[in-house]
Amino acid sequence: MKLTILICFATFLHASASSYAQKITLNVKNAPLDKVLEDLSQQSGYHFLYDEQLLSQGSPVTLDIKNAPVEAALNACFATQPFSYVLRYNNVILTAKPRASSESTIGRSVVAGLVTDDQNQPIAGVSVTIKGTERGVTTDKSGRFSIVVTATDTILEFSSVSYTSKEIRISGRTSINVSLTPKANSLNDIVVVGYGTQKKGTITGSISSVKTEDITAAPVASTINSLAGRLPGLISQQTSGQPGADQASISIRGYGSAIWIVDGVESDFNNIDPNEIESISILKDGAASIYGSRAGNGVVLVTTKRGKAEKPEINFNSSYTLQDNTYMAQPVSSAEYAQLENELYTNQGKPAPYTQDQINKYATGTDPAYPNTNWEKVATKPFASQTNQNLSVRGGTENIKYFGFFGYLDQNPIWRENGGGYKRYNVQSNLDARISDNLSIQLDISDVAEYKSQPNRGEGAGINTLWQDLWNSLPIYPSKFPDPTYNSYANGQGVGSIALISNEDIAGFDNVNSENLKGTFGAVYKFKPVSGLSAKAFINYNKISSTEKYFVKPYSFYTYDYSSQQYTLAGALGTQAQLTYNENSAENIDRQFSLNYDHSFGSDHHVTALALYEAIDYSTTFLTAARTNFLTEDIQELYAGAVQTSSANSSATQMGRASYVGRVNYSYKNKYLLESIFRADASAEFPPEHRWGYFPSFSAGWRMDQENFLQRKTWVDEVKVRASYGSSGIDNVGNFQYLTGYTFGGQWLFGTSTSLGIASTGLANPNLTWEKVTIYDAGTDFSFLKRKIFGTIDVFHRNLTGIPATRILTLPSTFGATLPQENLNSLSNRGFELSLGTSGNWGRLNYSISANLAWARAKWGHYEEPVYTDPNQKRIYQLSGQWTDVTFGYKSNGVFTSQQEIDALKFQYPGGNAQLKPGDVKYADVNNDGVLDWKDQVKIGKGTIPEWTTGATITLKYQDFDLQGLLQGAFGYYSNVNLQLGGINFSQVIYNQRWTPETNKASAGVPRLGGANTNTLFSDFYYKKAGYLRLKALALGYNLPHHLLSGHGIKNVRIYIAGTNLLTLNPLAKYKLDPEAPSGNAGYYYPQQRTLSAGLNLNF
Amino acid sequence: MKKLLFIFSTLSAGIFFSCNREALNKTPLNIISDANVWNDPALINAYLTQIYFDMPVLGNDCSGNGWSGDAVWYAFDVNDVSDECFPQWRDWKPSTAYLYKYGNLNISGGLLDWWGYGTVREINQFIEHIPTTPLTAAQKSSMLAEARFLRAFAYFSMVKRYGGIPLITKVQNLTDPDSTLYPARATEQRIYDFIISEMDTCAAALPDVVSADQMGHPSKYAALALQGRAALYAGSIAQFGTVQLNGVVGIPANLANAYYQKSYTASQAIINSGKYALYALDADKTTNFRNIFLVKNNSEVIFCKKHDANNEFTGGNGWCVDFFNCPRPQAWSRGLYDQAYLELAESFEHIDGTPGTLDRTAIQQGLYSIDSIWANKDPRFYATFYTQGTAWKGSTLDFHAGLRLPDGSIQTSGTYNGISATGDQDFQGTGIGVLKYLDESHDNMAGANSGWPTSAQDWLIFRYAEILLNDAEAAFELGNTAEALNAVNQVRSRAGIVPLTTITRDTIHHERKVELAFEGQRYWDVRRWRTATSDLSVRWSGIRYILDAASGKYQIQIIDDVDGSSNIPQFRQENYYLPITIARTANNPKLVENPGY
Repeated sequence: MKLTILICFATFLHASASSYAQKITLNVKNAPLDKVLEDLSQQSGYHFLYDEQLLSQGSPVTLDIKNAPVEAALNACFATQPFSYVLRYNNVILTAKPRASSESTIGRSVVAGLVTDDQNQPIAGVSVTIKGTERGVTTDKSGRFSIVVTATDTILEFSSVSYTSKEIRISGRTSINVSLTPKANSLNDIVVVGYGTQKKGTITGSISSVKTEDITAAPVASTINSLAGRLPGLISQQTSGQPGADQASISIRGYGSAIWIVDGVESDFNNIDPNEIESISILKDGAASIYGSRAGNGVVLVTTKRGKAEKPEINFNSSYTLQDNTYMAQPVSSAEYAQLENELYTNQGKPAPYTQDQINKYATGTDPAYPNTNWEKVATKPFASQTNQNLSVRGGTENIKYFGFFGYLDQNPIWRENGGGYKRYNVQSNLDARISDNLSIQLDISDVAEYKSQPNRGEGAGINTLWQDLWNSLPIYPSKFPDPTYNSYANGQGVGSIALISNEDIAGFDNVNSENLKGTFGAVYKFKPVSGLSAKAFINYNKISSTEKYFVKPYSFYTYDYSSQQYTLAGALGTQAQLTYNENSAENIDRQFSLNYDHSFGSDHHVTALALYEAIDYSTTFLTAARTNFLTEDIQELYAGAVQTSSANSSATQMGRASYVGRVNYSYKNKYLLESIFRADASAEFPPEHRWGYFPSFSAGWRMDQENFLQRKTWVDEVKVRASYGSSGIDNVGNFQYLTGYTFGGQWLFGTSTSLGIASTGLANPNLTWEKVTIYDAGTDFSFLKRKIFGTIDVFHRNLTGIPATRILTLPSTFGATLPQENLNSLSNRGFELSLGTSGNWGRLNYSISANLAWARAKWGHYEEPVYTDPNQKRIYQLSGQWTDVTFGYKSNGVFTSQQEIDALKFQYPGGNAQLKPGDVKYADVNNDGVLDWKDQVKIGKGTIPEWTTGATITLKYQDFDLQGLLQGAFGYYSNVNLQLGGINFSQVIYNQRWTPETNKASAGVPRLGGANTNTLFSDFYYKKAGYLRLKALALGYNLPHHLLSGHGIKNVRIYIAGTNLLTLNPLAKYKLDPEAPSGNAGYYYPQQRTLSAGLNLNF
Repeated sequence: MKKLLFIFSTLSAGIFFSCNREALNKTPLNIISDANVWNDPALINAYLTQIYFDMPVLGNDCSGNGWSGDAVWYAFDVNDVSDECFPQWRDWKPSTAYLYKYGNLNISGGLLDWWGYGTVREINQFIEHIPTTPLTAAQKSSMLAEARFLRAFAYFSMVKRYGGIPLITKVQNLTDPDSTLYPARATEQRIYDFIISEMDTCAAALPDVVSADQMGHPSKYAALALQGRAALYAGSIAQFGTVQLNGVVGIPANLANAYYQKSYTASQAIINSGKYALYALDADKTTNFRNIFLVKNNSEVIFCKKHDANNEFTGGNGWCVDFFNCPRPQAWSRGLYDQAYLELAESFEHIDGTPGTLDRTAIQQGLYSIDSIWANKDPRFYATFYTQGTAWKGSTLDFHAGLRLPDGSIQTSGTYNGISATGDQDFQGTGIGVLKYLDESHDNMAGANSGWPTSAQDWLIFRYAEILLNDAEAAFELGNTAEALNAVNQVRSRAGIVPLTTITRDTIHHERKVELAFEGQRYWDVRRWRTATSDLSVRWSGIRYILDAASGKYQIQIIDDVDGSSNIPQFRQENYYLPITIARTANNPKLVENPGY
């Protein structure tokens, strides 16, 4: 129970006697009760003591009293309230009215009414429930409802998927008419655009956005991973499940990496807690031009939550998640391993290393000298846990609004013992204050602290990582010895075994602790004399710092002979520990000054305008220090290392930008919309004469639904067509290329002393400047039949020119210098997006379903390359005029199944046909020239980035239950599924799919082990078509009935279960490969995770 | 109210006006300007140092660049593609050049590639700037000669790979005419002539002696050694090769003698200078031969790439020979990267001059002691290889690949009577490791030494024994057999093997193969003699030692096709020159591709 004492300090000191005679004058109409009490307290000098929960049940007060005694005023005020008061001296204590003896004694009554939208159209299917009970009805086709209430039922709740819920106090009325405002994806929704916001209905650019409730449905560590499939035109590929580094790579329409603007400032985004976010918008066309030189690949705008002039709302979320691999190939057993090794050796003409007797012993597993160890099971856990907790407070008054957030995430890795993990703390405080009628300020502070730890070998994709160590650990070695103090050797190519190297306590660690601190101060001043004119000043300071501690520990590993009971040292990884510290820090200061103008001229003309100046400074520093030959591995600081091994280094960079921005929006009769943007940008990395870039953009929209011929049609909610042209740039094209000089390069030894060399930075290009982008976009937004059908269609074409490239055509390689980059290449992207949705009610079930589909592809215009004269070179190597995602390789046709087939070959393999045996890959001599060589390469597929992306969200609400599902898919791409990158162990997939003389299948998925060199030629044997559709997220929630909560100060309790990547339709499943796996790294990367969570939301 | 407006305006104006200049007035923080370099002797020296660094070919023809030169496996590529050895980190197949050995060298290139025009430009730039610097005349003269030596070395590295190539001796500018910017390939002869004449000039300007603290810089005799080797190559290409593409590859046969004469003269100048001698300080011939490569600045060293024990990856000057080639145990349980073919080991004669070839039928029957298998070999054998029973760090190396039980069966795992079935070395390869250049005192398991490039042995680019062998070969081809015999026998006597009584071309070639094994010579030698198509297209073998549990002797197995039956070594006719590659020919039509690609 929360008690509040309302004290008026101004009158307190002389209150007791004199103020008792105070007369009260009050004239209010429908004023909130707490306001009235405040007034009473001020006039009377009395103190009010009450329970806030109780007060919140009070109804607005209408009073007109003049010079009345305090008690009369109090009586009048509390007459209509569900509670009474007690007067003690000059304290007024509010008490609940004695409860009625039983409900039956209270008369029942019927409340009926009409529910409409903001355009006075009736809404069907709105659920009307009595708050705190489970009783409820839904509105009929004409939006009408009627419900039986008792005297104690005071509040009706009106809710629908497409509209904002509303609560209405009955207050004795029998007829209640309610107007609901539409929710997301509707016309009045506020959408964040560059340097401001707009109503969705008046937007003329191609912008997609999501709201917080979508991205928080299922708990994920990385916010980026909750975006895939929700935003049409956003291409996402999650290629790793590594804690703290599992974020998907994102590109808007396949353009390349977009910039992220968080609360108006370019920021790292991934580590923000999804629960802090209010909305995310992506600007896909000319609308992005407002960000000028940085906007060429589109812009992602993220807005965090801010305070509201409401009673404080406290939110607490907690969830517990279990993660496991979506797909991961399993290693073979020791018997299978021995069998495969025999095949490998035999195929290479060498004696088989294992006898059948030995293989049998491995298979039976009774002899301890013949173990069968699944190192994947030894080193990894079946499930890794993750917990998220966060707490936020949001509220305020008209003058001060606040949002405070604290979040905590703890994600464990799949390694069984001490494998590191990821922890994150998010703190955010957003304050808005109105200093006077003219001046308001904002003060935001946020901090993200991250603690990322992994075994020092690293968990990235490819070789020389833990993944290779996993595949280098052989099943024929035991995982434990009779004496557990001896580490078991499993080959592991020098690291012992995966179980040792993945254990930070044994092998050492790579810890990265980083902090991202951001502080913003902004002030808005309204010029009263000119209506609609305001000025804004804004400054943001951002510092990102990280400390990496890389500690390598030495350890030894042994083999054990069961017959002699002898341990033999099999090897060691180093003998002394070593430590490296890396300190990185980056600092940005962003300043903006703007003038805003918003005015309607008459009823027909509406103008908004923005003029903005922005300047940003960037700087980075790097410092590293290291020592080796540690006295002891127990002390993990530099002082314990040998002094003579000390090393240190540092570096620094700086950069800056300045920009002018202008934007004018004009609408005529709210029907014809025009927007024009102009931005001028300068970057310090270009020479002064090529520093400035100018980026105009124009767009227009026509709201057909506002025209007379459609306005009368009731089935039309919205129809808008729009078109835009935009220009922007990309300035991420190399630093300071206009300057030439030398940097410290290599070293050489003369006599006994080391000399340092200086290396030229290459030829300068004083002309290098932006990449230039122009985007054309046309689209339509529509909604019919009260959002029974709604959607958006966009088509676009983008030209990118001036992509820096090295001129190789004009200067042969004998020129000898690194030629400067010039703005030479060009590229064009094209594609479309389509999203369609429906929403409504079916009985008491609210539903909202929307699906999207997008296609994007790019083609090289000019690609700086030699003028190929050889027709084959031209066909295979020339990129100009070609799609960017075409892949060439050899054409295969299964494997040879007989020597006759090889003898009958009419062409020679590289290295000759003598090496070929049945089981080797059979290629096609495509050009029939008698030789298999590079000229036989043909198109064998597309690229590794999807051409088609799709997604669908389904939101269902039935009484206290809610369900949200997200399907996501991608098609039109390929993946290299080569199953053995270089590890010495084999996977079950290889075992099952390999060619053997016994099976002799032409369609074998793996050629004969140890076969011809030509088996590794890049071909369609391994380059396979991929594509998938997966249940990316699913969440089922249940809201506890309110009657259980009332009296506990809790507004709402929701419990839920949620999951990600629960089901996948995947053609690569037969290779035990996730469809989003990095191409060519099958089994050699941190697998994507499937998660299952249980969580709780509390709302006070 | 007014006050607020004032504060607001001041704040905004401050932000507005101060930013532009500040935000854009930025410079890169790590660049030294061009003008500073040519005015500061220290920076001029640094420029020259960088040229060395940019010539990975100085370290056994490494094709890598910068830190990836002899810090990694590139240091052994040229040995691996010859008939000397092959790399046996079997799981590392894709990262090694040796794949090219099996017929996979095609127009895409990749083998030993070094298109050193970046370095050539760097040197030309240096040569053009030196006259304008504040250095003394003497400094200018010797630095110019040094730069020209390096440029000739670069061209020699390229001509032996590609044949004739564009000869560029001036810095090209973007504004130069097309005829300059799009050069055609000069003839192979033209490039050799350039190297030879440049070395005449350099020999005159370079110091006679390089002091110990300047070792690593070339002396007059380094220039003569380069001249002698280049002229010898030109002579044999003229004698054995064919002229193709109008002389872009190949040298007219009638010029052979002139080149041999030039080579002979250069070698004679070095020999007669009296400044160098074969290293012969140790009484034990095996120790003596090993120490040629371990004792720094010994009397045999003419030009070398200096190394120290500091990790090259972290700013030191070590290389990776001990880490890669040492026996086990080793920091990564690896070592034994290069494993020598049995045929090469057999090439080493017995100390009495009889051939070292094993009787393969006889040796695979019965039991032998190690001493009897490898008895009475040329002492260089024991200094060049390690195998079963070789002494190493106070113990002996154990390669045995199985245990012969009393019943005649062979056990390959576990133990028998406390004897392990297999040795601790890599017995699955050829059974023979490469001892040349290994430093027994280097501990790959310990602290700072456990990194890859931490070996301090200097890489000998020119040593006196090669000069004698160059001298012998040139003299022989010129008909001076007495001089040839004398020079070869100097080398043999120092090695501790009986002198020859007669000399033939084959015995000279054979002596080079044995004396200079694993020194990056063999591959180029069989190419210039045009014998590579037969010498390198061979299936090679290795040896397995099966330990007889009862007697402690060995049963020997010879492994034919040790490379693997699918992997047939192939050196094809076109491989006498590496491909220029599509990437280079495509942007200059005048750059014709080598024949056969």
